[in-house]
Amino acid sequence: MFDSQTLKKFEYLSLASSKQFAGQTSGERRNAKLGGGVEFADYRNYAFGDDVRNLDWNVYARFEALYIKRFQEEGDIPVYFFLDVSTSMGENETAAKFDYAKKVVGALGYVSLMRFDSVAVFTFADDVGETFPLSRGKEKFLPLAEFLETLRPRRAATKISHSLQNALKKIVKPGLAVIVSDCFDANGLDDSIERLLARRFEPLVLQIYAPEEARPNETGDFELIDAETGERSKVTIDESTIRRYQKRFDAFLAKTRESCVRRGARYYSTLIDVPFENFLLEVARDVKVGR
Amino acid sequence: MIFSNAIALWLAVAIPIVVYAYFIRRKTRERVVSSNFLWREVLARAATPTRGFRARNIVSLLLAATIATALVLAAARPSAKNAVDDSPLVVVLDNSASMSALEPNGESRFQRAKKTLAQIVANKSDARDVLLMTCGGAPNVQCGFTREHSALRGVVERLTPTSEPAAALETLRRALFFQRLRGDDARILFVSDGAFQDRDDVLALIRENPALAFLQIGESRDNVALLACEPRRSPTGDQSFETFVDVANFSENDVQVNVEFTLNGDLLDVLPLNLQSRERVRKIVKNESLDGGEFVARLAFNDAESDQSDGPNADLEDDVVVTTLAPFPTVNVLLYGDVDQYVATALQAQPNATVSVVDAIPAALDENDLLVIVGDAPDALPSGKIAFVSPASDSAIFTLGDEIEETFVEDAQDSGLTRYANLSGRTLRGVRELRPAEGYVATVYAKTPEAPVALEIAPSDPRDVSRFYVLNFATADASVALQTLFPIVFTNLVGAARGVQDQDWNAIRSRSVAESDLRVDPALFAGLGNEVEALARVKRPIWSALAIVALILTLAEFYLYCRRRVE
Repeated sequence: MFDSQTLKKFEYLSLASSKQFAGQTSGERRNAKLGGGVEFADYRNYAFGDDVRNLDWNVYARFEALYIKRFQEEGDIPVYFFLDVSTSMGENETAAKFDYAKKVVGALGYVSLMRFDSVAVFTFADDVGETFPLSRGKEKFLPLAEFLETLRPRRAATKISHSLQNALKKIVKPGLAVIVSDCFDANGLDDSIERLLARRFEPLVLQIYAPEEARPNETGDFELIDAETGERSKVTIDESTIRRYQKRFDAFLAKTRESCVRRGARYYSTLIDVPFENFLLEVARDVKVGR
Repeated sequence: MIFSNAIALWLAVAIPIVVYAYFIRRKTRERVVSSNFLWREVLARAATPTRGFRARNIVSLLLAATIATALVLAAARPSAKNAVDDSPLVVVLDNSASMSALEPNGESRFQRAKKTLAQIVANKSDARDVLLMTCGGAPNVQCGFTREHSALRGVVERLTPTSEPAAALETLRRALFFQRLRGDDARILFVSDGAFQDRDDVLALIRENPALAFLQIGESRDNVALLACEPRRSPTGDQSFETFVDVANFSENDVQVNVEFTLNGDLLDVLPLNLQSRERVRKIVKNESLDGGEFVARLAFNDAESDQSDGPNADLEDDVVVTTLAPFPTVNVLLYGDVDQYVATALQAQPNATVSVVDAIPAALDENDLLVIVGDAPDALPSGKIAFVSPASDSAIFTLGDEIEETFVEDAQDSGLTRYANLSGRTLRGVRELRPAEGYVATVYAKTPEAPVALEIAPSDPRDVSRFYVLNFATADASVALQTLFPIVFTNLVGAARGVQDQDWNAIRSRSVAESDLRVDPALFAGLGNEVEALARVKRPIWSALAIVALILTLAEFYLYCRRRVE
């Protein structure tokens, strides 16, 4: 999937998270819990049963009061990738779109594993499909890559909300939820984002689309076949129609972005002809924000 | 509907191609897209129900086919015949000689033309005035403008063909005059077989005048014609006769034909001819005598089928020439004066003359007497025909005057072999003028070496000098020896005395080439129309309307095409 030089570049990246999650094991990310870390976090009054080794004796010497020093625990973050494997991701002119999406998942998965985060992949179309279980450690990248290699688009429509609802039933710990999709769901992303936020996930939406989808350039009489539903539409496309479609597509992107941003979810979109590394840098550029 | 350019209807084969091309154009390309919900939303405002979309496609197809049909019809230049025409009509019927030609069904062209005229008269509206003209020989108004069916029918029934050539050009010009008198809506119908002289001028006139319609009658036929026949005195100067014939083969095949000559029913001679296709021959047949009687020259085909209506000789009228030759009375020649041996011998050689030498001038002359005075003219002359031979240049009666310069051939008729002229009342080149002496009013011209003797004596002469025949051999430039000249001179002299001289009896022309050539070249009449029905009714050109319809339909189709959006 990636050569060694590319992976080397990914090692300097990190997938940012604005929220703190309670990790299972130690890692490089701040944990929501305070306890056995090395970075001072806070004081609190001593209570019976506290470990006396955590008493701050200097404070006691000055104020004759017992205070316990609290430290920020560092741990991992569960990163859940929700990869769209619907037909729209991999039919005909958009075949490269699915490969692009898999690369994104693979690269971000590699970055997360390198940061000792836990990574799980859920594929979805009209429902949840194949799943890569929550795994941790660099050595898990190879299974992850193999898993992604085996994925093929399914002949099914995109139902993001329904798929997430079923996927979340399988997830115990909240984490970073990365949705990689073209978002061609007539119902939009509002419901999906709401569900994730309700479960204390941090949504990150990566919308990937093909240039032909954004800027169709052929005119004439067409019978458009919906790749997912098989629905046929006879259309006479002329220049004015193309202009209207472009406006509508731009509005569709804006609405998707607005659905995410308004709810505090991060959103990135890209054309598949944008170099993959550039998009990855854009997604991971604010790596320090979450640390 | 009448099509002026019916051949354009063959373009109709292009209509299925247009329809096929339409289906090619309408064939949509299938395109798999990730999702078409955005397309549906984009086109929702312009979208129409499926039924309407399909209906527009069908309408668009029908429009395309209709456009192609309209253009094909427009190219055929159609005219509507939807209304009876009340405009005045001048009908010019060709009743020239060629209209006697037979069609393959045995019917003559003139009969067919009469049927056509009867049909037009029957179909004409009661309010339509019709003037009927014929052009055989000369323009002839057979019936002035009338709307009476019975009168017109009667005139048509009485029409007969003539043996004259068609004066088509002159008749049409007069018809145009009549047409213009009756206003712009008046029209002219020229019914003819197309066999007329000045054909190019006539066709140009027809094409220049939209009101003038040409109706071509008859099919192209083969014909052999006796174009001219001329029984005449031999121009070599001896006492024999000859017959000149001009025969042409207007058929596409070689023809063997005999020209039979009969005089008073007795066969004089037979001239066999083997005519190749489109060959024209001129021959002279020698005759010993052509004394008075009915002279007939006739074409006789060896093949009996040649005379049938479907043979190579469609016109039987131009196969025969009949003429009546004047009888030759015997002239009593009374020879007086210094009789020359040559003169006496020449006169005695005349077959229709009896010569006697007299010692004194008779006191009176009979009708058939010819007094020939050799020498100077005496002062006293009897009544009757008198000829002077070699009068002195200055006698009591005549004075030899100047040479006459002006030509004498005014009514020259080309007989194909010689230039024949009516010498009566004509002056002769190379002739000395004999001026009558004082007291004689007449102007007398004497002979020329190149031509027969001709005399002119003014009828106003109070002394009735028409009885004088002056032969002047004193012309200095005479190039013909007297020995040779005498027989000619005296033959003409005797002939003049017998009253034959002034008769134009031996010049006969049967037909012109234009009348006997019955082949019809369709290219000549292309675009002039050939529909009888159309001439009785209004022809309203509608091709322009069809073209406009096609344009409107094209715009409608284009609009529909642009309106097609989504199903």
